[in-house]
Amino acid sequence: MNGTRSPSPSAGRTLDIELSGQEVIAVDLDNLDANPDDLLEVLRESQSKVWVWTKLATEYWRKGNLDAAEKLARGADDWFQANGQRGSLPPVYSLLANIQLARARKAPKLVLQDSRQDDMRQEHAQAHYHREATQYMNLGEKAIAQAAIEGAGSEKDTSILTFLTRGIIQLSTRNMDDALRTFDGVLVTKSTNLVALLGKARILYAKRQFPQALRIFQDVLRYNPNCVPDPRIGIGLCFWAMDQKARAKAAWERSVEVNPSQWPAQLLLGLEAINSSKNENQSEEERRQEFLFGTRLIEKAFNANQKNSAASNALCELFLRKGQHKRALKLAERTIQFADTLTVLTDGYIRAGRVLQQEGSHSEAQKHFTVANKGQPTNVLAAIGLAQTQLKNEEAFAAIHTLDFLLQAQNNSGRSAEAAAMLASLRAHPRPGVSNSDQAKDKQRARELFDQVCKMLNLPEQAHTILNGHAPALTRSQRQVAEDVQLHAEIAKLFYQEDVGRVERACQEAVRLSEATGHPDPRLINDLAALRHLSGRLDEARSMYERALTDASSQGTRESDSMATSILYNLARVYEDQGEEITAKDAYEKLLSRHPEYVDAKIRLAQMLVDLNRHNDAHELLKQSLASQNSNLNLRAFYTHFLIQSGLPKPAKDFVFSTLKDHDKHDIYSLCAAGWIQYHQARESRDATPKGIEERKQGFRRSAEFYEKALHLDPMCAFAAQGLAIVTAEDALGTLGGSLGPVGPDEASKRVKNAREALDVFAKVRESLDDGSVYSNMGHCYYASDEYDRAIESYETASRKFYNNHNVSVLLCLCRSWYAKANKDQSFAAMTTALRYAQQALHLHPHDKAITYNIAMIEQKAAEMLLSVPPAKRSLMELRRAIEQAQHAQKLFQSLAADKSNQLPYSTDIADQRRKYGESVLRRCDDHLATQRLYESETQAKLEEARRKRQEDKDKQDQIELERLEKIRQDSEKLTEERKRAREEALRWTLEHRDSDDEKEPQKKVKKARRTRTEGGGGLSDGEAEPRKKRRGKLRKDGDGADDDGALFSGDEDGDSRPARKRTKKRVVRDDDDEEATGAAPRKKQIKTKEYISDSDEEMA
Amino acid sequence: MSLAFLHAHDGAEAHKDSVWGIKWTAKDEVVSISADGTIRKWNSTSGQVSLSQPAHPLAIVSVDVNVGGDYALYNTLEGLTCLWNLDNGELVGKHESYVRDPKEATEPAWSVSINPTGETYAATGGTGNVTIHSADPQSFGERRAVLPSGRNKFGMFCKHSPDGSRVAMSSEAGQIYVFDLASERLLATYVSHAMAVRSLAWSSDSQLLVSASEDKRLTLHDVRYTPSGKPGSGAVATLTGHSSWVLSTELSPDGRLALSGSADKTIKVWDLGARAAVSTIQDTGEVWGVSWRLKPPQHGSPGEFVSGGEDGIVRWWRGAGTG
Repeated sequence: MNGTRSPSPSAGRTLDIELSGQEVIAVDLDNLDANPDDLLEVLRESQSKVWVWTKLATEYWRKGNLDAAEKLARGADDWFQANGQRGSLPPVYSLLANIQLARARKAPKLVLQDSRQDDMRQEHAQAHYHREATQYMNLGEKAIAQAAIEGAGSEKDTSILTFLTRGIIQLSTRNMDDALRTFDGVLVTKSTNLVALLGKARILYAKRQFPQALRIFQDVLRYNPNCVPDPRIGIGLCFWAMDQKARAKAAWERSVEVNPSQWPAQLLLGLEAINSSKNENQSEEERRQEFLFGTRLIEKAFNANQKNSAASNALCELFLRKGQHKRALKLAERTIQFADTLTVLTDGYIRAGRVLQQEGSHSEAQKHFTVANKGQPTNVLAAIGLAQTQLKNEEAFAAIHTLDFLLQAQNNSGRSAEAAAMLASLRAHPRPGVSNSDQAKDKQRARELFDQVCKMLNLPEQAHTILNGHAPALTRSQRQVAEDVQLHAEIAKLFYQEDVGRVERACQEAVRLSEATGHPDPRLINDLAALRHLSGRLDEARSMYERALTDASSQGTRESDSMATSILYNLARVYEDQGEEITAKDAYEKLLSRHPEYVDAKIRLAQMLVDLNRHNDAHELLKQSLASQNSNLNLRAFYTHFLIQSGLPKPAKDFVFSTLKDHDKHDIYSLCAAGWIQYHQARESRDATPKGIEERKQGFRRSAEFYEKALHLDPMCAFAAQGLAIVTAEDALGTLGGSLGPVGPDEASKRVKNAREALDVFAKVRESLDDGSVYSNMGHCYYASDEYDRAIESYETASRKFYNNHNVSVLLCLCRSWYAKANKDQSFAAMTTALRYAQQALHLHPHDKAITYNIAMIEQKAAEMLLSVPPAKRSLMELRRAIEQAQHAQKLFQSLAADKSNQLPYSTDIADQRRKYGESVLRRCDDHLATQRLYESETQAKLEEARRKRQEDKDKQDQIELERLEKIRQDSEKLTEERKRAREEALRWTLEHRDSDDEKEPQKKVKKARRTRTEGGGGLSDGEAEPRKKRRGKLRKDGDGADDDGALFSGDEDGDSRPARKRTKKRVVRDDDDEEATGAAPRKKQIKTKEYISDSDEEMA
Repeated sequence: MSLAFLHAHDGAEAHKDSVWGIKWTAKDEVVSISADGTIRKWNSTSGQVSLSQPAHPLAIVSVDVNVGGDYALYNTLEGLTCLWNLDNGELVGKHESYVRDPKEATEPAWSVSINPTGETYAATGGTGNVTIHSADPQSFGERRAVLPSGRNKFGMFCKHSPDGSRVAMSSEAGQIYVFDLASERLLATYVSHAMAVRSLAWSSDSQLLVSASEDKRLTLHDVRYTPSGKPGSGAVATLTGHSSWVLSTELSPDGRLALSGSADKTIKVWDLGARAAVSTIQDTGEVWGVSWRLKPPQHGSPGEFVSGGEDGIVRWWRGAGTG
């Protein structure tokens, strides 16, 4: 649209000027003198009309001699003013205004005062010419007014000219609405005015009304196919904007054909070619060709008009890529100075920034990026460039702010993954002067950002990977982000302790990408190996460590040596975990021969010695380590642990206190250890003097304080929570179950309440600390609440899952729980289980005489218990076995009582009393045996009787049934006789109906019987179902009474409620049976609830 | 090198509780003891129980069989030592070792071993000493001698050397003591382990002793000694590979292979020459007892053995390539 005002050339190429003396001078328009002074003189003398002046000035302009044109126009202005012919002046002013506009087009829009390559400080800025143009415009209008008075000039033409000039000025100064009004005004009078049409089309295009703009451009083309500027360019732009790229390209190509000397179409085609060279769907060769073609076109366009910002912008990118910084910077500065749209301006700034950045002038680059960023806050490149330069200048906070601002300005779907990844990385990176809590927050935000990046780029770290694999294709820069090894390494680091799965995926991806480079980073392989190691995939971990070690060792740098050291240590840990202790030991020793101060290796060697029970040797190693790294908290923690494990609580206490006092009073491990040691000391103290009790109380209080402090520092510390729960459960801050003071009347309920509270904590601790100790603590709490079944369940989990049944104290807890349960349930089977656990424990620790005592106790108790229960709840076989055991217990008690060893874990006096008591128990045995024998024979007889009776009943039933069937048969026969065809149908129906009724009845009975049998459990071998059921119901009641006479160990308070509850449970089961009998089939499944099964288990065990 | 052992068959009926000891006798029968208080004799071919004792109220923890395979000596959890005739099932000797002498501090027996001569048996337990008792049915259990270890750590296991000259004892602290029976003298102490040693085995030539410890290792000792009484070189090899306590061990009759049962629920066969495991068999629970068949195997076969453990089942195993 440049050069709008050039009128179409006239047919004759000479102009005759009539001088006053009838002399005519023919001016050859094609060969005008560059200096218009002579001509000016001629014009003045000839007193030519105004059109001659303007005609000549226009000719100069067409030749590109703006100065001469302007001089002529000004001459005209002077002359006409001087001769009082102001009315002729409007065209002159229009001309002058347009000349200014033409100058404005070549003038920089903005003059950079500190430009380095493209100095425009000598030039007037565009605005200056616009101002001038406006002034001339105003003068012109005044002149028109004058002309109206004088009645000179052809008003119509002049007014159109003025309107158009005004419209163009308005358009150049971006007063779109005014310009549109002006052009519309022209079009009202002259609807085919091309200038007005083109102006209007441009405005519509700028207002993004592409179809409308397109139509006008097409109209223009129709009115004048040779119109300059070429409307095809506008047509192309509209098509491009409407995403009809092929048609756009065709329009431009045609434009180049028609006007080979015009640059805009070439520039556009060049840009199009470079754009499509980025399409990765074509071959490398095609892309190269397109790129070269585009470059050529752009260069050509730029040479045609060096003051065009779009061309210089495009060219700048090319030089930037070629690394020709000077030229690139010049072009960038040119772009900035001549840019007529914000986008191009921003581009110019960004490119200038990039050139300077590449040169290393970061603060200058930062200036450019800042302007670009301010102008277009959502421009990713500007923001990233700014952030980069800010980082270079160590302004991390500013960089974070910049990126944050960018991401907030962008809407969710259009967020830049590149910027998000960069911001996440910045946030994750620790910065000086940031508080811990702020840093934790920053890390959390970084994780969120990485989360988004993972989703945007469809990285393997995503929480939910897209299964069908239709991930959107990534752009080149996005792919670079996605394939950045460091990004994945950072994600891995950041999610450590948050999401192990993601860490592993990130690590794996990092290793994969690192391997693709051919020189994988041993550190990454090591990291991945460590993750495999931690998740128990030892073989994989081992081979990866070995590979990483080879890689690291082959590099031979200082850094690689320290890498190799760590990797070797990790490898040794795998050897150890794989049970190859000798290989592990060799590896640790090799490590120590290279780095004698590597205490971690020494710690492992010490631990391996501890595992062999060689505490002295281990101690020696640890002392060495402490001598070299006395303030290593890991080492100190391990030493504390070692001292406790070696049974040296006193030195452990001193040591842990010194850690807290001299090294780190916030060390959580030491706090927990101190809590434990205090607790242990207070708990194990047997000092019953008032002073001793006070000391113990003090110890418990301090223990609780240590745990509380640890929890305060780390609210997730499961060990401290568990420690406090134990304090609660054992009422250590109260009376410790009576050993620290008088027991209140509500002791039992208090105990249950404490146990409940502690259980809540243990249940939570269990979530994060999957350890046997938690389960055995839960067992203790259930035991304290007299919930023996649940206690047994917890202990068994601890014993089986965590200790392989090799932990004697847990086995003894199981023994104790079964013993308590046996007493409460009056169950010989439970007692036998208790005895089995006790024997298992003694088999592991044959030196522990307390277990022998317990065995004797259980043996005796079984008989005592069975003697106290009614014959219906015991069997002769059980009774005999129990009596045999009780007799055996006598021998054991005798042996135990006679033991003269020092420090027995039991009292020989009590053992002797037990023996004597046992005699009294045994004296009653014969009677009970007799009673039982009698009872069982009676029962047997009753059973026989019942069976016989039932058989009789059944026979009778069968008889009745037979008779009934016979009757039916006879009836039906009769019926058959009476009626024939129709009757047969009725007969069949009747038969079917009856049959189905009859079948149902016996079936139900069978079901019911089977059910009761299962319910009875496997206590006795093959008793009849019915009587057992009756017997059990009765027994429950008696059981309650027996419980109350106080078995030795069981709690009495709960004794009432529990069997009662159980009874209801049973009743529920029976109700179900009844319902089922009435025909509710679906209920059948519900009976298999856990309660039911565990109840029957009790009986069977 | 690796050897394959195949599961031949199981005992026809399982013990009601864990098997805590097992022996393959010279008469090609197997004797097992269990936590259920029973001792059983099995037919090795059919896996049927050929003889058994009624259940004792408490578990049986130690068993040994004499050279000829006619008698089994066993001891219960609380220390009742019995001699059982394997031919007729008669209990020929019974000694309540837990009955305390008012004059002297004694402790119940835990582990017992019968002297190859059959005249005496050795016992160890709470005192940390080895005591020698009469194995004669007439005077069964009478104490003949005390061989003091000098330490009062609980004696976990004792075993006579096949030549009858010595008895080896191991303690809960891991020490191993070898006593000379004729001179009633302590010949050697080995501190190869620092955790309980639950089983010891001699080579048939009485020159090697292997120990199985809770430290997950087996240690091979050279226990030859000069006539002057100077002990041999001691620990010569450590066999590692079990991932939990080693509970039981025995050396093959030809002295080339060692057998071990562990709390890691595996049985391992070790080549003593290579000092490496040549076979690992996965079991269902702790393997408390393993015993080689004494009859020499067919040429080319590594032999046969029997095992017993946590699940109470007696299992027979044979080297691949035999019948």
